This record gives sequence, C-alpha cells and structure tokens, in this order.
Amino acid sequence: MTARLRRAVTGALWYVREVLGENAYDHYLAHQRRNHPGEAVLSRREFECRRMDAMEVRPGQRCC
Amino acid sequence: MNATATPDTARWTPGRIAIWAAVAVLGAIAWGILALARGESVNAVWLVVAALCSYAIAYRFYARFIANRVLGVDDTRATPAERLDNDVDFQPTDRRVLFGHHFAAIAGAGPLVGPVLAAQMGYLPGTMWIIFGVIFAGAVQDMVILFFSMRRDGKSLGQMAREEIGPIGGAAALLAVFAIMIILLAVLALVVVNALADSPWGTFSLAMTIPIALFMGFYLRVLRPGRVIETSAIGVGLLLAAIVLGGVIDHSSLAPAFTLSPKTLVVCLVVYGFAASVLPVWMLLAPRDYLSTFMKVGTIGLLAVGILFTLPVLENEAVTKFASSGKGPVFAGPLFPFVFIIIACGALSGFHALIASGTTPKLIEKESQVRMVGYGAMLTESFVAVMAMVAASILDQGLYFAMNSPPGVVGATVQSASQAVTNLGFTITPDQLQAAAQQVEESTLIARTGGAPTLAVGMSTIFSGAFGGDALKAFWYHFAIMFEALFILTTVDAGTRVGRFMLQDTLGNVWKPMSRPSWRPGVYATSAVVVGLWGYFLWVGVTDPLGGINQLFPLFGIANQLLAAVALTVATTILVKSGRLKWAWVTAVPLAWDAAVTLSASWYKIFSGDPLIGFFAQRDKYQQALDAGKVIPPAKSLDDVGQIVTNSTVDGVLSILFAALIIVVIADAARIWYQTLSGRREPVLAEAPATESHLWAPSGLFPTAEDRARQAELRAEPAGARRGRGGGAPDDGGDG
Repeated sequence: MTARLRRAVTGALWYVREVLGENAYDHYLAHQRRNHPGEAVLSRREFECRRMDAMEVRPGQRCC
Repeated sequence: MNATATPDTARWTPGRIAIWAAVAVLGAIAWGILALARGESVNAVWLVVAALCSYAIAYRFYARFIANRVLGVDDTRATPAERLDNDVDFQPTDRRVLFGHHFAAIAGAGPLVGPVLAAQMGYLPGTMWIIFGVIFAGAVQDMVILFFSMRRDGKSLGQMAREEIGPIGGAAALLAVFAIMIILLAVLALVVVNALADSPWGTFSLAMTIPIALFMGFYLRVLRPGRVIETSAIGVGLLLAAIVLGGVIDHSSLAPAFTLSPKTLVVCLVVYGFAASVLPVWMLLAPRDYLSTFMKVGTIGLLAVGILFTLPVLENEAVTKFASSGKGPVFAGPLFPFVFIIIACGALSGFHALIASGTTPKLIEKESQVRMVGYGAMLTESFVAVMAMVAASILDQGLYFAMNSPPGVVGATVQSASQAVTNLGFTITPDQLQAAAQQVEESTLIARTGGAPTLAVGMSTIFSGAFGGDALKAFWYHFAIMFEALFILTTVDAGTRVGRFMLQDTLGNVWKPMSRPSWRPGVYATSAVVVGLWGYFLWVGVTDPLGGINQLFPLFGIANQLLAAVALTVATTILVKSGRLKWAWVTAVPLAWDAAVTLSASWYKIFSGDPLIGFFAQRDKYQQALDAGKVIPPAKSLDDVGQIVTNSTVDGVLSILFAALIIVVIADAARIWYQTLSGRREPVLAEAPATESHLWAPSGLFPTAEDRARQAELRAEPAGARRGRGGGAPDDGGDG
C-alpha cells in the first residue's frame, strides 16, 4: 500500500517536472553525454537562459 | 503495417466485451434522458456521463480504426523526434508529457465561451455538436494533421498546403491563418474587456498578474534559473492573494482608480499587447504562460470535481424557442448553421491544426501515439466545453438572458432588464437581479456579454456549492474571471508575437531586413501593425451600438471553421494522393459538413435580408436612416448610426473574404484530386523517407500487459544498447 502510494507520488512529481520543463537541463546533460561525450557542457544558468531566449524566435502557439 | 502489433493483439475476452457493452448501454441511457426530457428537471451529471461514454467508445474504436487502417501508423518507422533528435526542437518526449504540452497549447478560453453563448438555443443542440463534432470532425482533424505533419518532419499547415495542393491553395491558407489570428485576438480581448469593465475587483487582480509575472520572470532568470515548479507555486500563491486583496480594494477608497470604462480597458490592452510583444519573452510571456497553465489545469480539474460533487440540476431547456425562431438576443440566426459556428473550439477548431503541425509532431516518440496525443487531447478539450455548457445551463434562465443580451436589448437598469427578460418569455424580478449582482459583489450583471461573466457565475455556484458555501461566492466569481482573463491574455501575448513573425516573414520576402528578429525597427513596426489590427476590431466591438460580441463572435467562428476547412482539405488531398481514396471519407465527410456550415453561415451574413443577421442588410437599414438624418435605436445619435454603417461594411467585406478563401482552397484541391484520380498527374507526396526505428514506447495512455513485458525486457538489456529518453521516466506499469 505505502509502496504504491510512494510510487504514485513519485510519478506525479516526475510528471509535473517533465511537463513544466524543470527536467530540461537533466535531459540536456544526458543528451550531451550520449552524443557528444567529452565536450564541455553549459552551466544550468547558461542553459536556461539559452532555452528561454530560443522562445524569442519560436514562441509557443497558444490557442483559443 | 506489421508494427501496429501492440494495439491489435488486444483480444476480445468476455470481460472486455462486458465492459464495453456496459459503457455503450450507460451512454445510450444518458443520451436518452437528455434527448427525451421535456419539462422535467434533468441532472447535469447525465451530460457528463453521455460525454464520457461517447468519448470512450470513439477513442477505443473510431480513433483506433483511423490510426491503424486509414493512416497506417507504423511503429517500425522512426519519427522525426528520433531521427533528428537535437535536444532542442526535435526530442523524443514521453507520450503522457507530450499530451500535457499539447493539451495546454490547444485549450484556452474558446471552449469556455462558445458553449455559454450557444446555450441560448438550449443545452441539447450545443452538447450534441460538441460531442459528435469532436468525435467525427475535431479530434479527427487534430490527429490526422499531427500524423501528416509528423511524416513531413513537422511542417506547418501552410507549408503542407503549398506542397500538397499548390501555390494558390498555400497562399490562401496563409492569408486565412493571419486573418483568423487577428479576429481571434480581438474577440478574446473583447471577452476580457466585457468581464472587467466597471469591476474594480476583477481589474485589480488582473492588473496584479503583470507585476507577478515580471517578478517570476526575474526569479527564473536571475535568482533560480530553471526552477519552474517553485516559481509557479510562488506565482499561484501571489495570484490567490491578489484575488483576495481585490475584494479589499473593492470596498476601499482605491476602488475608483480600478473602475475602468470599456474604452479605457481597450487602450490598456493595446498598450499591454504591444509591450508584451516587444519585451524579451523571459520577462513577461514565459512566466505568464507557466501561471496560466497551472491555473488552467487546476481550475478545469476543480470544475469537474465540483460538478460531480454538487450534481447540479439543469435550469436550461433542452431546446429553447430561439433554436427554431433564430431571433435570440445572444446571437441572431437559425440553429443551422449558427450553433456550429458559435461553438468552434471544443467541437472542431481549425486553430488546432496550427499546433498539431508545429511543435508537437517534432516531439512525438512513436507514430501510434498520434491517437493518444492528437485525438485524446482534443477529446479532453471537448470535455471542457461540455462543462462550460453545464455551468451556463444550471443558471436561472432569466439571469442568463439578462446577462447575455446586448445593452441595446436589456438597457442599463434592473427594471429595464427585468422587463426585457419578461418580453423574451422568461422571468426575473429587479430584486433578484440586484441580489445576484450583490452576491458576487459586482455593481451589475446586466448585459455582461462575452460568456466569461456567465461562466464565472455558473462556476461560482458550483464551487461555492462544493467548497465554502455562499460566503465564498464572490471570491469564486472573481477567481473564475481572473482565470479566464489570465489565459486570454496569454493567448493575446503569444498570438501577437506569432502574428508579428508571420508578418515579418512575409515582408522579409520583399525586403530582407524585415525578417531579421534582431532588427528592432522591424520588430516595432510589425508589432504595431498586428496590435493595431486586432485593436481596431476590439475598439469597434466595444463601441458598437449593436453589441460587439453578437456581431464579432460569428465572424470568429467562421474564421476558425475556415481554417478547419483548410486543414481537412489538406488531409483529404494527402489521402487521395497516397492512393487511399476508399478512406478519404474520414476527412472528406467532416470537410463537406464544415464547408456547408461555414458557407451557409457566410451566405446568411452576406445575403440575408434580415438586418439582425445580414451585414449588408444592416448596412442598408442604417445608411437609409443616416441619409434621412434619422436616429434609430439602439443608436443614440447620428454618429452611432454612421458607426454601425462602417462596422457592418467592414464585417460584411470580411465575410466575403472568408467565404472566397474557402472556395479557393477547396477548388484548388479539387483540381489536384481530379488530376490524380484521372491519372493526369503522377501524385508526388512530400513525405520524408522511412527510416527504421530503434526506439520503443507504449502507444496508449496505459501500457498493456505486453507493453510491460517488453519494458521489463528492455530494462534487462545493458544500458548502452538502449536509446531513448533519459531522466528516468517512472515505471510504466503499476498505474495501469
């Protein structure tokens, strides 16, 4: 029962983090490790600034 | 075709048959109760049950048939997210996360406003269109466009129209996209203006969202980069505080400072729209987007719980007399085609084709997931529309008509409104009207058109019934107003920016520097043009003596359905060109219906001799009055009469433009269909070549037993042999 509950809470937390993009930096690190191992990576601050500024030219479309 | 193995191996066990039979029977009972009830009271829960059962059956059978048979989803084929993965715009994304993103992008104020207006014809016609429309048209459109765009590396609807139909169809599609954007922004902004006018509480809390968003932007940029959850939590907390504080302001000496006339609000919105479009996204747009996503999902969830908790009874009739007379005060015109125009978002929304062909196809992990993401997210939006219909239909109908009729009909006082409502055939006393306004602590509820205030009263009734009782009614009313205004403003921010980019792109073909996003004069000029265009319609809507919403909302619906016609035409063309003529009805039938609805609505708007419906008849009537120097109501002066003449002319010309665009797109596509089918033209598809996929993920929301076995197998393999998303998605099992 508690194991199930814990799993549900972890799942929900994971979901919120994913949807809101809080995990984007972790994904970036994993991507770099996989595809460009050994190269220098951006700090979180640099990465987040860059990610936000990318929206400048590609704003998310929002519907009615 | 062998890759569809996962969904196809589900066998029909007796247990499964029993469950689906039960769903079908329950749905049939709910529909029966809704359709046959005459006079006796019907519980709103039947609307919810009818919707959910219909969605379940449609998703299980029809959506699956379209995915497997019509589209031929192929999970051995790598999606663009897998092939082109660059961790920026192409990125394999967990299907449940992508569903959340996609839903947040398609759902906004549209499905909340349309059903409220359509409730004037009774709950049944609108509900039937919301549910059957989404099943056979809206969700189909979203899913097939998502699929075809995915097969083309995420091309936009405009690009697909150009490549699959031709340059004329493509240009018409682009023009349609731009036109609908302008009308959409104007109408949505008008909803906000009508909700906030002369309401210090609402205006104060909405104004506070600007400093709150700025603070969140600063926090995310400088203090704690990337900590979206804590930032959003702080933002939501501040927002709730702003609503509470609004109640204090309402009773304080500061109230007059926040009591703004509609015209002042228009100026504020236009200035705000321009600023939001030229400021860096991290300052305003991005944090506001987080805030509005939080509020959107939270409030919709709360509304669903509230309805199930309070089980309200519908006060609205199944079908009112306005359905046949077409003379309702909220919007004029007969049931066909106008219910299908007024309710666009939630049943069939062309705007979604822009989202289904933009970001989402670049993120999808497996082809078979288009069903869950495309079809599923649209079903969810449709459910939001059903809840809006419930919220509007549980209100006392006298109050509903007093709130939703234009000022020209109900006047300004509780006495005149009570009299007007009686003339319409409903009853509400002046005292009751006064009491209703006092309950939500607004100075008046008369002629609060646009849908938002009605929805807010309905929601506050439901919420206060479920949580907090009457004492919290005013809080919940302003909470609902704030929530709608918040995400309308988010749409206005993003829409202005998207419109600006489209304009920059187009002008860039003529003069290069224009398309450079960093060239400030270009940015300012194009932003000013976009804001000026929607600002013009907004101003017109606010000052129109005939009432802006009932003039502009049909135009918005027509524009939205026009975009749906473009999307369905592109989809049908691709089906025909890829040799799937026998399945082309899946998109061709909704296209025929949509074209019939849009063109007949345009016909009414252009040619109807009734000045309440036809823009040119309206123009003639007021032009004659102007020539004779006569003031006819609801105009109060000759200037008003002149203004009506100008407005009707502009609206009429726009109706002609929209109808012409639909005809051009369909005719250009029909030429391609004919040439392809008669063998005069070798069909060339712009599809990206197939590449084998090395990635595996379940296709449905819940993984099947086989999915789980496969997952366990993959987990047992050495980590290096696996590709796919990192970040540790939790066990797909367990929650099934």
